[in-house]
Amino acid sequence: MMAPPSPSPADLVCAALRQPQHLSALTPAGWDALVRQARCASLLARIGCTLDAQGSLDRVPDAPQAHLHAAMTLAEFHRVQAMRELALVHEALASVEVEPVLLGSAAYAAAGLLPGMGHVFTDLDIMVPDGRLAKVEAALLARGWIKGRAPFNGGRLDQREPDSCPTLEQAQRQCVVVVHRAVLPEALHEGSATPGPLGRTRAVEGDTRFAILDPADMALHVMLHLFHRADLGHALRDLSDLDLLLRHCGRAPDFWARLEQHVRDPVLARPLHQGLRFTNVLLGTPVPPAILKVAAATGGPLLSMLSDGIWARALRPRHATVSDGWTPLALFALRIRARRRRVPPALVLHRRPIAVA
Amino acid sequence: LIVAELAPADLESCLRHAGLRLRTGPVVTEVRSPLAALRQDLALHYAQHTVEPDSGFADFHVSVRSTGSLPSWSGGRVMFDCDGARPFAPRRADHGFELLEGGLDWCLTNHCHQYLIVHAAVLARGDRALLLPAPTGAGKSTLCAGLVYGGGWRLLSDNLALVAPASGQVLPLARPIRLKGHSIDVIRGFAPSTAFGVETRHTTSGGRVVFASPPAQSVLDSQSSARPTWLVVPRYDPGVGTRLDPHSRARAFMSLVDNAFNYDVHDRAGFATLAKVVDQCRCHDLTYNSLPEAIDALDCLAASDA
Repeated sequence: MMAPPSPSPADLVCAALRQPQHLSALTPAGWDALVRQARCASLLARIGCTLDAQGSLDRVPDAPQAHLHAAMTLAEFHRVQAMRELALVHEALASVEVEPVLLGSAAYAAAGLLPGMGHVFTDLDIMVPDGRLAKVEAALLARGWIKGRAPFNGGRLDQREPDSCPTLEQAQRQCVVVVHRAVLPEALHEGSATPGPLGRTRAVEGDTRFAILDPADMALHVMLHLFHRADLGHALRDLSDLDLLLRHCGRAPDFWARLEQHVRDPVLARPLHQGLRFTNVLLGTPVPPAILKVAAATGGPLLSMLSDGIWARALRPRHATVSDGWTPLALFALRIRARRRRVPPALVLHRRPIAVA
Repeated sequence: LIVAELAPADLESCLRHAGLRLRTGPVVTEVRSPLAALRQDLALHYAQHTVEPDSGFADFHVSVRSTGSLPSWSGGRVMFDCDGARPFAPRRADHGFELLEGGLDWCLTNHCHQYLIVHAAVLARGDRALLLPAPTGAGKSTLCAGLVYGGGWRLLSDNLALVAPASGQVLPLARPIRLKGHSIDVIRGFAPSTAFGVETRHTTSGGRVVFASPPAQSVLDSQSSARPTWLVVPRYDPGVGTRLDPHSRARAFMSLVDNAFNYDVHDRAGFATLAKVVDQCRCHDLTYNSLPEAIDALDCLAASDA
């Protein structure tokens, strides 16, 4: 019924990210399909940046090359906007003496990390100490932000966040700041064996204004959010972020040892296992076989097969050419699972499954 | 191969199944739709446009089809889709062609950041372009239609100027001109031999809308870009006479910025591109209450630079 986790031959985006050197052999019809899929997965700019880094962008045929350039121009605009917005957030939070920890794309942009490469984003995720949340909110409100999408907005769930974090919107600049209190969603934290809050932090190199997570915790954070979220519209992009992060940080001597500390944690083990395996299989991320083996020793075979089949579909570009009859069901199952912990089933069912044309 | 050379049955089959790959200037769009009304309008307005082979690269893949939410006897609702993106609310089935035109604009303004895109009508004499940047309601399309059908100007676009950042050249689209409200009657009276599509009523804008076909010659020339030469900010004002006054370059520059869709996306390159455009142009303000007078004034402007 369900396929084992192997790259789908129709998924040109994964193939392009895994082996960009093979793109020189792509036919015009192949480019046609790749640009469509990559646009749906928000990975067009990243493919452009990857080819640019290899020095082969100018060998792409003119028409698809124009789209890669267009996406890269837009991604660079988003990055510059995010940096401007971060400067303003810093100013606001400095007034209440809070130093935020940047999460996700904000961290990549500020620290100049590889996942920032061709990243298209509008939301900035920051983490502040639990007790300072009210002050942080007040400081942002005083500087022109307004209270954003509430978790239960008009009976409809804010489906971006597994834990209900306050969001603040800048109406003129259309930028959303999501304020987190912890790396681990509250609902998950109870079951975790990890003592104390997850999230060793360090300062951004050359920029004392911000802190970011330690590389191993940053990777764990990406995995947790990817494999526990209800909105999987950008699942492949998040996986690609993780791939770049693992490639970038994996060279540090203690990185894998730090990740390995969590492989037996009841809450972290599964996302860690899935994150490592899917990046390895779909995007060719180099992962030490030892940690892959330890991580694999969790969960039964039947459950693993089912979950693999489901995730293999969720992690494809959201495009008709790479969807099959199981895709809507797989996405629906994952959405139910992500919300089951804290939301009544009636509300989960409130939203219709994501339509696949 | 052009659309007019396709047999009606082939056109229908193309639109229903494989998709019709339509070239408009630099852009190839694969269009699918089972709607008969849309097919008729498309056959009329895109008759001279090139059909590209299925085996090549298409910039966008779009469809206009029924939402399936209402029974067909009620007329139904139709929606525009571009690879899963549905930027517009569903519309009445007879508005399919208008939805397609809006969708093609959406594809360009949302994805084609290889160009700096300005909300402007663009016309040309040879390879010299006249840019008419203005917000909706300033009489831009009326003036554009008047210049095309009555003044013999070449049509590049009635609402989107695609400026190539490196060269500062404007690229043609040669798509149908969208006319609405009173300006429909003005153009029908002014150029009665123009090919108009079916008029639709009660659209989102609240009034009547009709499309006028681009002249065959403009479509034939749609692979040749043009150099911005005249920049005229138009304004229809029934209360005053027709006047063409010189305009400072600084103000002309700002009129481009105000009407640009993606000036901010291009950052410094956007400034450099628009500066290049303004530097090449003679800049004017045009206030008009009579279409023939406005056309005369712009013809004189072009002739004085001959």
